Amino acid sequence: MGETIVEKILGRTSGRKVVPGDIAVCRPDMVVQLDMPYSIDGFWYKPKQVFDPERVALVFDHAVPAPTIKDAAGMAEGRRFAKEFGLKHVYDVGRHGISHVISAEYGLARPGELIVNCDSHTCASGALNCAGRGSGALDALQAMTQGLVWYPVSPTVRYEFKGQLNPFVAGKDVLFHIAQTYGSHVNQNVEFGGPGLLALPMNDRRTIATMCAEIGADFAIFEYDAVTEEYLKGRLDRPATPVAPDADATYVDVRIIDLSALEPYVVKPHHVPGNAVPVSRFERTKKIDQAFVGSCANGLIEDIRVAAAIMRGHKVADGVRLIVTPGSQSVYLQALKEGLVEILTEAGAVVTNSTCGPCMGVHMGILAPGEVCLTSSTRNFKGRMGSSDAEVYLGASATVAASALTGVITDPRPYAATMANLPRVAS
Amino acid sequence: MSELVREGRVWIFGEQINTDIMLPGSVIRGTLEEQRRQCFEAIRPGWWKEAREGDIVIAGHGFGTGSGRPAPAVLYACGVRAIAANSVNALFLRNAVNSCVPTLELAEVSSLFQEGDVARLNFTTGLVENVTRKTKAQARPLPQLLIDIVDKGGLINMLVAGGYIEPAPFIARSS
Repeated sequence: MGETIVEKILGRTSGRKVVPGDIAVCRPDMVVQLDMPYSIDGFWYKPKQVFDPERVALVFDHAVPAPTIKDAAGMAEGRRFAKEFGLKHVYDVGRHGISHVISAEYGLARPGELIVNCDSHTCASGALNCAGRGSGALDALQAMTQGLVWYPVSPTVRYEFKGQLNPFVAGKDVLFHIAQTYGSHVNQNVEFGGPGLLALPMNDRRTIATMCAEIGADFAIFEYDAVTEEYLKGRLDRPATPVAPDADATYVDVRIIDLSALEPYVVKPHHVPGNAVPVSRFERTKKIDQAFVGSCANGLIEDIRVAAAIMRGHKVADGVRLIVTPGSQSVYLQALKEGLVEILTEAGAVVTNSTCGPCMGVHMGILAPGEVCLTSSTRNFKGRMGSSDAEVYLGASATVAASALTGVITDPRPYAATMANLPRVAS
Repeated sequence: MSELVREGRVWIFGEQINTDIMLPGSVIRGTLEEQRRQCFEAIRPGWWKEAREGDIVIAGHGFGTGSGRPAPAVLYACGVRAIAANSVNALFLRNAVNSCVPTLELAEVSSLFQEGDVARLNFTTGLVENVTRKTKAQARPLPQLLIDIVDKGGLINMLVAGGYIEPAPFIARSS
């Protein structure tokens, strides 16, 4: 019987063929450790051994630079651990980024492989044909010491793309459309492919894969194609073998997504499935206090370009804060070289260093009671970005930037032509 | 080998109860005692004061949706010793097993109980019983590997016994 992508990867790493309903006990290909567990009591025990120092990475992202003494002390312990075991892949402050962005940039998320990371958005690596899903910090500890991780094997839903996205309709909107049309994917894996895949840029795939956590999916994974190959050129330090699904693989459902028919969505507080409204049906009267572009979902150079294009020559609306947080220091540097930081700063936006930051209400832009935020980050739970009396709406980066311009939640599509505003810089 | 059974008083929660409700970001760096006092506060203020050791949480769909934060550990600190829900987020399930709060999924289990009933959950056989109302239902049993983790007192105890980690947690200093 044929297998889906995830079934093949779990099969290889567990040494036996798996079917939905099994529990797979696997040897991970890569384990990524973050700063966060060190500063939460009970989530870090000093290891006595590491299963393979070449397959354990350390990335500081959730609270960078350290906003509290406890965070700082936690990172100091992380450094000590990395040094003790001679870890190969270390991304400390200054070389850091959000772990899923780093995993893509530095080839930690590899086609056909299994990546472990205690963050819930580890499914982000699915865009690179790499199987990953949120685990707990204790599971990451088991994975990096014992070299074992277990997963319930869920059935898979397959999405086939056709057509291509219209200007200023983004991967974020694709995911919101799926959330609105199909709701929760709890206890399901999601697999993406189809004839429209080739026209879907890598940054949009990464947004979609990342945001699958918000519809409760387990693994979320994309097929490997020429776009994946192009992105990964020069990033892998050892060969990887992409995995494709068998033609006779079994799926819970196969669903066609016509990218050409999609419009931007806005998601209302305080959850995602069933809560998205097409922007054309969203009343253009919802005032916002804060707009945020960033996070593992939308902190890439493409997101910053869109924000700069819309804001160039204008000012952020009165009473609105626009915060832009690049997904990694590499993205930040590229934004600097492309002149985007200057454009955004002149418009009155605040461009910060890379970190998870405002997305989870840790620092760098927390909300007061009664405030409304439109964000391209991942989550709109009550209290997520600060006060539990604040409201968080979700949108793609273009929607966020257009709304920062007008001061109310705004359809970005009339601003698509502003992409011509971007200064031409030599790459 | 003896069966993994939990019997206790039931608390009923609704749909899509997320991890941030059980462990808000405002206390994610706090002590377990501070976290315990915020457990479910946003939707059931004062619940943490009424929960007792041995209590069981029964909920609807999507229980534990959200982040990988250690929400089950907070439930354990409040006294919760087992969970059964219509559907459970897999990440939460994992954290729950690792924190010694065995968790069962059974569609419509939330309609089998009313708050205050006594539930008896057998994780080895999957039998779900409402002791008060004398009704029962059959869930999928928890796999043996997961029962072993709970039996050994959670994942950490297993790793310590195996010589993989030091026995005491690292506590980052806050001053």
